[in-house]
Amino acid sequence: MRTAAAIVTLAVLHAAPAGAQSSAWTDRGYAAINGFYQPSTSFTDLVRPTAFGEAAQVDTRYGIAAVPGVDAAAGVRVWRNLAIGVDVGFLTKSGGGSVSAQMPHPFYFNRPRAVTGDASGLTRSETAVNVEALVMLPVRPHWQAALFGGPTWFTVNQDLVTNVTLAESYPYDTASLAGTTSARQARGKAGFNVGGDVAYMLRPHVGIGADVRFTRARIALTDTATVTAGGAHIGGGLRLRF
Amino acid sequence: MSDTLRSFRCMAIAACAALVPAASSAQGRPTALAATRADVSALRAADDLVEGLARSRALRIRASQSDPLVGGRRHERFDQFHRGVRIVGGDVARQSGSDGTVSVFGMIHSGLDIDVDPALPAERGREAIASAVSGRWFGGDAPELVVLPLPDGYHLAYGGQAIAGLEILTVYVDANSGRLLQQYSDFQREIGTGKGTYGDDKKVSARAASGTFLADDPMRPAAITTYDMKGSLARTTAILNRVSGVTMSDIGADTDNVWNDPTVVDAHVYAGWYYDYLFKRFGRRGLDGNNLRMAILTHPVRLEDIASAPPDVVGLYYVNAFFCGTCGPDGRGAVTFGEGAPRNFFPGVEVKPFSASFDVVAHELTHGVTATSARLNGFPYSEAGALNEAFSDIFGASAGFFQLPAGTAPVTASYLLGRDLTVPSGLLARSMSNPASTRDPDFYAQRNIGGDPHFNGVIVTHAFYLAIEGGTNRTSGLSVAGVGAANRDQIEKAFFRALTSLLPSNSTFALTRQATIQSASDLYGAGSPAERAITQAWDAVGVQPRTAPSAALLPNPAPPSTASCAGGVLNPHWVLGITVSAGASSLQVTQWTFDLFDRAGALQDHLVLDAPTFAQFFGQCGPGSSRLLAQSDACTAICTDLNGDTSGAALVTITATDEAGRSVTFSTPRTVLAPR
Repeated sequence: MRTAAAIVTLAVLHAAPAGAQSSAWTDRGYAAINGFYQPSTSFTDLVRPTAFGEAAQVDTRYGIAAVPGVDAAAGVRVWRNLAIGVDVGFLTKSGGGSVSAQMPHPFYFNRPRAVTGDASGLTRSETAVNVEALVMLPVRPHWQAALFGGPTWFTVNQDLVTNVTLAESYPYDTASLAGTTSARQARGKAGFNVGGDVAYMLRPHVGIGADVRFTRARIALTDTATVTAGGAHIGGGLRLRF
Repeated sequence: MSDTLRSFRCMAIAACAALVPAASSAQGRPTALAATRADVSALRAADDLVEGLARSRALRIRASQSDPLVGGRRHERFDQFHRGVRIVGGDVARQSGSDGTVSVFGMIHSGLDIDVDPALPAERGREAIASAVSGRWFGGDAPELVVLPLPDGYHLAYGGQAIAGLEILTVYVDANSGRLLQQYSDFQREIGTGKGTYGDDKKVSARAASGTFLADDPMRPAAITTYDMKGSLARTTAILNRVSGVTMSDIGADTDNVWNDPTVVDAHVYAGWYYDYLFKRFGRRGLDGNNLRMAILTHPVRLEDIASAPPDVVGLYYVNAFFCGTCGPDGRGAVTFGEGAPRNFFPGVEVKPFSASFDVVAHELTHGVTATSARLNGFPYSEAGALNEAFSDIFGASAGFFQLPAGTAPVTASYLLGRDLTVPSGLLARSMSNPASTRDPDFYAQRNIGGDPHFNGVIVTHAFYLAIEGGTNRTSGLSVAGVGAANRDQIEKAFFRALTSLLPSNSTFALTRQATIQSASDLYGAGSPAERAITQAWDAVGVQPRTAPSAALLPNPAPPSTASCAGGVLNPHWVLGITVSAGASSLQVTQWTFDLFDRAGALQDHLVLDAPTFAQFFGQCGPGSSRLLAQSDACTAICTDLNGDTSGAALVTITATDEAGRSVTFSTPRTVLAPR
């Protein structure tokens, strides 16, 4: 189960004053607001609820479609071209999963019935707080580039299938999936982020930019479900320098 | 001769009914119908006969239903009436398809000239039924006026039920004199011993009610309720006899749904498994095909009371299980499982509760299927009783193979019916695969007519086994190419369909042979492996269409018949079970001879005996008459010695006159009396 949780990015840069030719970055700080797109990801979970006095096996493959998110960032220059900042990103998505279950027979031990179907309405959200050290590289008039990286704190909320409801009738040798029951799991864990940003300054303090950021953390939501938060994402938005 | 005669000690082979020759007998004869498309003209004649009798209301339809196993087929069951009075055992099962009649099996009585106006009013008949068995009336408002065929002729009789002691009896009395003609128990029982279960995990389908869980299955289409009598024999008999109704407190219960009473668990779960077997294998919905509820009674007595219990209570409610078709909460049948016996109540043996063995549970419940279909009841032709038990054994074992893995350990399937009832195992079992290993017969001539139907039924169950597994019959030496265990469903379906759709109530082994072959042909085609296997199997166990009369002599018959002879007989001695069987024609026995040979083969005694003596001796499974109706049997058990010789042989020869006035003579095989 790997997840690309994308979260945010922010990049930052402050635009060098138009016409500046020097590699020195003189702004006091930066801010950015981005929209981004995080690629699809998936993970699986296997739970064993008790049904008819026997352990069932419910195997769910969760598909998290490519999803847009937003992030905002701000930081201050602390030494020459080096800045320290914080980026906060968020995304949420209502997705689904494919369920493959082995459900116990109501009358007999060890005679499981295979049940397959889809689960829907399973919400996934991620919040990433990226602490970043950023190096600004003013490369040409109006253009700036930056590299950044640092630790990230992820918080993931995920609806997990915990059991299935069946459509069945005597003699109960077969059954079909009537629905699923789910529970929301929330966990946080530290990870990392690295990336780069390119900005074009339309005004001395206002520009637009695009970034690529890779964030990642492996988070165990339950004993059986581990997701990968973050991932590679690309985004773009407003760039401010001050 | 008279000295030798005095040396005979007759004893009952079976505890079948007490019979009294009656003066109201009337002429008539039964005719077995067994017609299929193998003989189109015979089938047409049988069909015309049925149609004609139906038009004249001599046959009246009892049930009509479509065939769950063969599409487009329909089965009708008719009862025969004589001047508006039902003839017991006169019934016909007709199978038809879209292209006409397929088969007709049954027994039709013709030539009756019996007055159907009873001298006794119904109320007196009811009293006579009760007093005849020293019991009390139990059969509803009024007894049924019937024509009763017995080996010595036809009788106008009142029939009904009475409670006598612990049992419910079906009783027939003469409708003119009130004398007892016939009685038999409604309890179809098994003998066994046991206690406890084998610790296997089972799922209990229970109903939640008022903070507890009841052994009342809410998930299957038929109500399956297991009652816990909590060791109260009085309560048990009150419910069986319908003296009082059941309450919720009678139902087995558990507070947390983790059941800790293995007797209730086994009974309840196995009843559900049996329902599943019927449905999945045969498409049958419950015992009657219409989801008849199942009532299961457990703990009828307390195990700790066994030492002080009377023998009849021990025999009925401890080491026994039985089905009663008229018992239970609504009078529609109940199964009672005995409590078993602690270790060493019988030396060296522990008897488990009778619900501990799935094949036994399925056996008892199959009696419920039979009671609502072919109605085989062992009366008035004893082979029907053996068939009743045989079909219960067959589907008891088959249900086991359907639900459990085959094996020799407890809670596995095997052909050793009742294996799990005892520890050590198998002490009360009947072997379908090797009948000799449990001292049961594997050949028709070894039957003990009028004897224990469980004993005689093994001949049929062995045929069923051979049709599946194949092999060689030890007595006949004939081999059978079975269909194989992987195809056991074919043989099961052929037998089940014969039981539930084709066979009449007074079926014989011979008729069952024809019906099962017909069934296999219907299901799998003429010449199919299943039809061939069944035909070979019946050949192997010596069951052929009964046309000519025959006689059989079985030394040392079934265990119940091998009790010591009374005084006056030298040692060593032998108990000889002798059966005389009429074929297609009724017989009037005129003479019989009894020859004894010494160990060198020289004739030692040659006794020439007359008809009255035949009636005197052959009264053990009939009223005692020198007249035998077609398709019926007469039997006796004779204890004899060889004047001190330790081995020898015996031969019985019968001379009789048939319906055409011809003299016929037939003999038993010359049978070796093994060294003693």
